[in-house]
Amino acid sequence: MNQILKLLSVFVAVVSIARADITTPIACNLAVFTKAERARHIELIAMLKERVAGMRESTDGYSFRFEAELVRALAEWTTLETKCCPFLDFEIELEPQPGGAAWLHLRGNPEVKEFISTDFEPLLKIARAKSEAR
Amino acid sequence: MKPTLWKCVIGALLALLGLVLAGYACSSETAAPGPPPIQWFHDEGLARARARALSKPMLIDFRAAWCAACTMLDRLTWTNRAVRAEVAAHYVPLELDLTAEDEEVAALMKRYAVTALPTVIAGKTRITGFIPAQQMLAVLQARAE
Repeated sequence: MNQILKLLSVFVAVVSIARADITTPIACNLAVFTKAERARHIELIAMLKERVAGMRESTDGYSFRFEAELVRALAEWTTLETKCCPFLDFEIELEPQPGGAAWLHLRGNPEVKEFISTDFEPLLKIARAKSEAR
Repeated sequence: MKPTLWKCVIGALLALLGLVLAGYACSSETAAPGPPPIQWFHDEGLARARARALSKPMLIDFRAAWCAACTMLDRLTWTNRAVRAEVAAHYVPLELDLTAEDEEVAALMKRYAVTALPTVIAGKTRITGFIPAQQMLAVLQARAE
């Protein structure tokens, strides 16, 4: 039984899903972060920009590809980001291991997608360039 | 060629010319310049004095450079022709930038109870977060009545 579970977990693991409340306005909350959290948030987004390996666009959002070893950092960033942008749908997906990638999916309605393309424009540019270079 | 055929050809050409001219007139109509971009005040005192002088309510847009939802408001809502016309006719627009994390900004946020961006205050109505042009127009028209 343990072997089967282990095998299943190796195939596909959806690490974390945070569903947005669709009534939440698209607004940036100013009071959610402590100073330390804000600093860490900036540090993590810089790291994600540096390490993003590709992207995919879908009708309701964008997915960013990372090395699997970054899954912990993605989870940490997601935890912080859900505080300031609760209107976004977050999902972290881990492809079969070893060797698979980690994906960060950001989704929502058309206005939320517009927000993602505005707020994450630098990350999208880098990710798109890396996808095209592959 | 028979004279009746000539008449048909000339008639068809005139009709075509008419269609081209009508199309040009329509495209000129859509390309006609609408109201100018919103002329935001950036000084609260000046805006307040202007609002008093004109007996118009203020339209305050609180924003910050890092706020993506504020950029969306700029790009998708404030650029709308009907919204611009409504603002020009019935409001005194004031834009307050909260990018700097200093005491002045903190005092401003406290005074207006701003906790999230964008925040828009149109007369006595408060909007928190991005809203599309049609929704903004409805809010502005409700206040302006």
